[in-house]
Amino acid sequence: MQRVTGTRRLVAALTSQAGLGAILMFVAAAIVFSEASGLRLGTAAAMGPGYFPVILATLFCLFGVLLLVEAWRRPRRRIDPGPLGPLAVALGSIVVFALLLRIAGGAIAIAALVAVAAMAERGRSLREIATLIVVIVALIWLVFVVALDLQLAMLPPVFLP
Amino acid sequence: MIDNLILGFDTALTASTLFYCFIGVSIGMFIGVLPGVGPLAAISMLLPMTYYIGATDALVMLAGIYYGAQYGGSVASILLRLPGTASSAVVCLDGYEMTKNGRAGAALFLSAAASFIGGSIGILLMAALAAPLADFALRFGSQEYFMLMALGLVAASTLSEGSAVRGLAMVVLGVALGLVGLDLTSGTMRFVYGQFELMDGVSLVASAMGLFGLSEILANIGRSERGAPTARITLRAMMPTRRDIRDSLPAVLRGSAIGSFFGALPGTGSTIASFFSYASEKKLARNRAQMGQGAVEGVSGPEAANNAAAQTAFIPTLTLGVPGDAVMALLLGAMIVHGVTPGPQMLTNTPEIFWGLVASFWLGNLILLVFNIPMIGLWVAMLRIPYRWLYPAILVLIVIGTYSVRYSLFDVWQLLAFGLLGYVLRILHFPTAPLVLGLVLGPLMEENFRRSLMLSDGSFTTFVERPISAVMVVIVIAILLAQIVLPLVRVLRRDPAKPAEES
Repeated sequence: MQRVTGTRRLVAALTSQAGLGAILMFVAAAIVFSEASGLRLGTAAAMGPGYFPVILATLFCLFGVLLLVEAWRRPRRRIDPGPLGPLAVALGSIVVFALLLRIAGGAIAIAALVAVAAMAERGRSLREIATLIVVIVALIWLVFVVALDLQLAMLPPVFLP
Repeated sequence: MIDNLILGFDTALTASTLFYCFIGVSIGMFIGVLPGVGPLAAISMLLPMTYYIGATDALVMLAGIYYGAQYGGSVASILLRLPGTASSAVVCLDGYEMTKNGRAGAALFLSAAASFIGGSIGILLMAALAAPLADFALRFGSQEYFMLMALGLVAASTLSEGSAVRGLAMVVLGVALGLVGLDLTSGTMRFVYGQFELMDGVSLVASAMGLFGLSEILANIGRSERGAPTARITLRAMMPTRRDIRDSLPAVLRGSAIGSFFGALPGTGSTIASFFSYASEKKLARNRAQMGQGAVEGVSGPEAANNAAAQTAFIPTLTLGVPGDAVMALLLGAMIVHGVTPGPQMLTNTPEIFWGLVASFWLGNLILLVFNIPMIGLWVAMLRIPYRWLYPAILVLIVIGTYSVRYSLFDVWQLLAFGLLGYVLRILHFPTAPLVLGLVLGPLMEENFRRSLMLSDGSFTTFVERPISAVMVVIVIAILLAQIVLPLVRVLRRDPAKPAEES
C-alpha cells in the first residue's frame, strides 16, 4: 500500500467524512463561544447565562478533536452527497410555497409546491401532475380547513371579503 | 392497582378517547407499513394537529402511532424484504423466507399475534412498576435529575448503532439548540440574533419534521423505486398450523421478556430488543436449524420483543419524566405543550391521564389485532402506492403542519433549515435522533445543573456525594470508557505510519 504523507494526507483527512464532521464541530463551537462571550459567565454557585454554553462549546471542541483523530486514520472514507438536483428541487418547492402563501393563498401555494416537487422525478405526464395537485389540495382542505378548522385561507386574498 | 385500572378504562372507553386511539393506531399501522416513513416522522407530522384536541386524547393518539407502527413495520418486512421500521428489520430474515415458501399469510398472522402478546406483557409490567418507580423518584433532587438525564442521553447516543462520538456530538448539538431563546433564570436572550420568533426557542415541530420528515424525503427523492408485493393473502391462508403455534409460544414469551427489559432501559429500544430476541432464538428455538430459512420463531420472537419494548419504553418517560429515545422525547414535548408534567407527580396529580394512557395502550393493541387481520388486504394494497405519488403529499403535509402551529412562515424557514441540516448530518453519518432528545432535555438539564450547584454552593462533588446520583455517575463513566476511550486507544495503538484498513 502506498504511503500518503504530508499536506496531501492532511487535505484528504480534512475532506473525509470524519474530517468534515470535525469541521462542523469546530464551527458549532465557534458559534456558541462567540455568543457566550457576550453573556455573563457567573460562578458555579451562581451561574450566569453564559456558563452552560461555554461547557457545551468545550465539548464541541473535544468531539472535533476526536473526529480529527478518526479522519487522520481513515482519510479514504469519502462522503456521498447523493443526487443534488432532486434535493435542490425539493427544497425549492418549499421556498416557492413560503413565498406564495401570503400573496396567492393556500390552494395556489400548495399547487405550486406539488408541481415543483413533482419535477424531482423524471417521466411524469402533465395529467399525472394535475391529478396529484387536485387530490392533494382537496385532501389538505378537507383535513385542515374542514375537519380541524384551521385558519388557512385557501383562496387568493383578492377573493376575500 | 385494580382501582387505578378501572379509572384508566373509564377514561379510555369514553367515545372521543376511543376514537383518537383508533385513529392513532391506524395511522401508526399505515406509516409502519410504508417503508421510508417512520413513527418519528409521523408523530412530528401529527403533533401540530393535536393542539386542537384535549391532552388525554392527544397523547393517546400520538402514543398509538408509535406502537401501531411496530405492528405495521413487519408487513413490508415479510412481504417485500423491506423493513417498514428499523425495529422490524430482523423480521425480514425469516418472514420473507416464509413468503417465498408460500406462507406469507401465516407469517403475518403470527407477527400480529406475537405483537399483541408482547405488547400486553409490556403494558402489564408498566402498570405494575409505575407506582413503585414514581415513589422512588420522589426522593430525587436536582442532582439525581441532572444525572438521570445525562445517563439517558449518554446511553441513548452511544449504545445504539453507529459511532459513539457522533451520537454524543449530536446530543450536545441538540442541547445547544435548546439554549436558543429566553433564559428564564437570568431573563437574558441567547442566540436570538434579533429574531423575535426565536424568543420561545427553536420550534420542536419544525426541527423534528425537518430532521426526520423532510430529510428523509430529501434522501429518497430521485432514487430508485421499490417493488410492489405480488402475493395475494386470503384469510384462510393466514391461519397458522397447530405446530406453528406450539413452536412460536416459547419464542413469544422469551421475546416479551427481552423486549420488556430493553424497552425500559434508556437508550436501548425496540430495535435492539428485536435483534437480541433473534439472536437468542438462533440458540434456543425448537427450529433453530431452520432459522434464516423461514422458521416461525424468527418472526414471532422479535415481533413480541419489539412490541413489548415499545410499551415499556413509556415507563421511564411517564414515571421519571426522562425519555429514552427520540420518539419518547417528542411525546414528552407534546405533554409539556398540553400542560401535563410527566414524572413522579403525574401519578398523583393527573392519575386519569396516566392510567387512561395505560388502558388505551391495551385497547389500541386489541384494535390492532382485531382490525388488522381482516384488513390485511388493505395494508398490502397500501404497499402498491408508488413513492412518486406519496412524497409530494408528505411534503405538503409537513409544510402545512409546521405552518399551522402558530401560522408562522418563520417556522417554515426553520423547517427548511432543519431539513437541510438533517441531510448534511446524514451525509456525514451523524445520527439525528439524539439531537431531538438533547433539544427536549437540554433546558431541563441546564436548570437542574444550575440548581444542583447553587444548592452545593458551587461544589461539583455534590454529584458523587449523594448515593443515587453517585451510582449514575459511575455508570456514565463506565459507558464513556467502554464506548469512547477504549476505541480511541485501540485506534491510536495501530502503527501510525500506515493508513487504517478500510472495511
